Amino acid sequence: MAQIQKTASAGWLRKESQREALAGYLFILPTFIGYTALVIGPILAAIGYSLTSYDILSPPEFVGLQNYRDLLTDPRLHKVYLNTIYFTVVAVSLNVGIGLLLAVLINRNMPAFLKYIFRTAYFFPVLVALTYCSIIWQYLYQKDTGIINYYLGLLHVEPIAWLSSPAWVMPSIIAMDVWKNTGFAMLVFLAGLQGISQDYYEAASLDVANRGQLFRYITLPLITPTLFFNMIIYMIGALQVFDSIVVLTQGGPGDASRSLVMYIYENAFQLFHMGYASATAITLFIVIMLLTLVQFRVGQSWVHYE
Amino acid sequence: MTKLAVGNSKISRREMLRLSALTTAGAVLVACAPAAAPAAGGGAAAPAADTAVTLTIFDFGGDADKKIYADAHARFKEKHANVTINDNFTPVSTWSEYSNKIVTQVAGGQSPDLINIAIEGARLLQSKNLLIPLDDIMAGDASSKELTDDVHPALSAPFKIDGKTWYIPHSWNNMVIYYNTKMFADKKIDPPKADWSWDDFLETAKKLTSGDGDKKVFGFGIPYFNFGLTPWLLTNSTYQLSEDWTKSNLNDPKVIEAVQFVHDLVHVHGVSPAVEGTDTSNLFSSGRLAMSGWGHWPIQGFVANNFKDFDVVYWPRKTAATSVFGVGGWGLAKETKQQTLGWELIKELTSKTTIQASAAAGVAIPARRSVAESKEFLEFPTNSKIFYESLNDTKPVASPANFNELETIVMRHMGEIMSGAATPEVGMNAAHDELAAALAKLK
Repeated sequence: MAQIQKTASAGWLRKESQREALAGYLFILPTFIGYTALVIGPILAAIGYSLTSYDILSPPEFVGLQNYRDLLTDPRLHKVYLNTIYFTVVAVSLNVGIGLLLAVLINRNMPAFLKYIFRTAYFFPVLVALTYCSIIWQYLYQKDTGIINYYLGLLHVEPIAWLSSPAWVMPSIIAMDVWKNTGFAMLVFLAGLQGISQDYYEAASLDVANRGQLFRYITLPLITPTLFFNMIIYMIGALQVFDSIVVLTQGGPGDASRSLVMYIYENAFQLFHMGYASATAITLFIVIMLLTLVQFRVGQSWVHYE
Repeated sequence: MTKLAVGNSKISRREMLRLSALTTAGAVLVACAPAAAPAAGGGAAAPAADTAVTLTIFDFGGDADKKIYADAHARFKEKHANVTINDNFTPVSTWSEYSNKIVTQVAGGQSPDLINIAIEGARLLQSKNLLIPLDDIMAGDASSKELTDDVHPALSAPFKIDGKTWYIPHSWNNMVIYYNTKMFADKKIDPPKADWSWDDFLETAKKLTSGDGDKKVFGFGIPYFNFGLTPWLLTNSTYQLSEDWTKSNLNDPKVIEAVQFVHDLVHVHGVSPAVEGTDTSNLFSSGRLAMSGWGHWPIQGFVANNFKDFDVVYWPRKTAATSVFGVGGWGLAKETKQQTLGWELIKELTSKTTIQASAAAGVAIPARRSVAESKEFLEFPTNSKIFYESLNDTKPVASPANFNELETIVMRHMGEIMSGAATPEVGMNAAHDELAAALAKLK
């Protein structure tokens, strides 16, 4: 009997496809364990905490859906959601749009060293720590002593309260974000552009297509997968914007630049309203998931894979 | 097993998780959450001299403090060679952040033996049951009298909560006005008098404001943080909270009047630069600000950068001659198993030698009167004596157990007011409603 079992077991392992499957499972096992423990687990824990009143030192008290009911009547939450949506729409559009423009400009025929210089220059801010960038921009943006207002003053423009005016604070933060991050989009677009076969352009040139037509009918459709990738990555990042605003304005003036993640952090780790913070985080999780699903769904109609 | 309160019933954590439809993975992580309440402290007897012991400290400050404490630890270890000291040192940005960090670390199961905290976080830690009262230990140690006799009662008072002593003061700060003596002399303006008024202050600030664009020099840089704004309230005979720190007072017309005065310094009189992001210490030391307000803490930096053209004066008054102070102290964590050694280390950290070293570094004002009144401490700036002298008339910064909420609420609404998004009256009334609700929850 034991001999039969041994033979059967060895036979199972001898099958090529099954051995490959086993190897595959073993390869993904560390990731699976990490993902379950560090992503799925905290999400489920957050769902649990969102049903409690919890200050991290006292035992959680079950409050049912009270935290979710409070979300609906919290005027600050509405404000920070609007800020986050505003930031996401504008920052993603500008990061992706300017990144694409820079990539197209750099991808033209020019000496290799110039390409190298431009590519490095535009990508450089991505490599610099965000906190350093934010502190430098904070000095640049200073109303009374900042260098931007100094040069505007030479043009007889009144000093602008870049970071202390509710009207200017979000555009100022977005400007820094685009300067800092658009280089990444540019690099990804460059990779996408360099993957387009020159045969398409040669064929279109034979049909006397101009530059605009080449971009509209060849370049753009063929980089839609790259465009889609950039939009998803930047959207998810923008919805979670945190550190740059913390350094630049700490969410101020008032709540004028406070993002949703900052609000979650404030509730969780400054006020110790862990239950309410968890409920807020769950809403953000759902929003990101829904928007990503919508993007994938809508993307089927405009993303072209060769 | 830790129990969770659900209405009047009790259910286990596991049942709670089941009810929440959590999976095993979630349960594992939730179970990793901290135990609810720390266990009672350990025994009072010190271990034998040959037993290895580690004392963990939560500590804050700058580079100078770090060295001072390291030296104190070395002196302690000369007497207790078996003790290893693990100094969990945090460079402080705000008191709220520091006390929040302590709470989070304790919740994460990393309770220290000793905690160094400022008044702003003192009640938070005490209310969360993280400390043991020191009265019995002090009563059993005759040498503690030497320390308590050398400390001004006003500094010990904020650390007595519910009739018990929870911390031993080591240093403190109060807000005074710094002025650039050279800029005053250049403009032929007499140094401010000790009893100057808000009107005198404004008139002086206007005289010192000059130029345009990048050449503009401002009369006063607003100390734009909760501690720095409080003197304006106090010198107008008001305060953020009721006397017992249980009710909001932010809608008091006198509070609104004080906030209006601060607002007008920027937006009406133009004697102060915009507050957001303004680095007042850099501008002051570079001659772009003629006056600003701080505690004792920037002196060391100014002197290190060879800037000594300044002196200090009392805060200008509207109706009351006063200012605000904050004090730091050492407490023993409830979870410590080394009460005796911990207390011995507190005595070393508050000894005359340590406090003298701290005073020499010039970071804060020594809690010990004997050191604060020493020639070395009073040597610079010229009017240094006002730091300790003012203590008789100075009030502690309002620090309820939810100081982190108070600071967040006040500064958020001040941001709206200073940006013009809300008037002082609307802003402070809104802040009052929020703070009142937060304090009500505290009860």
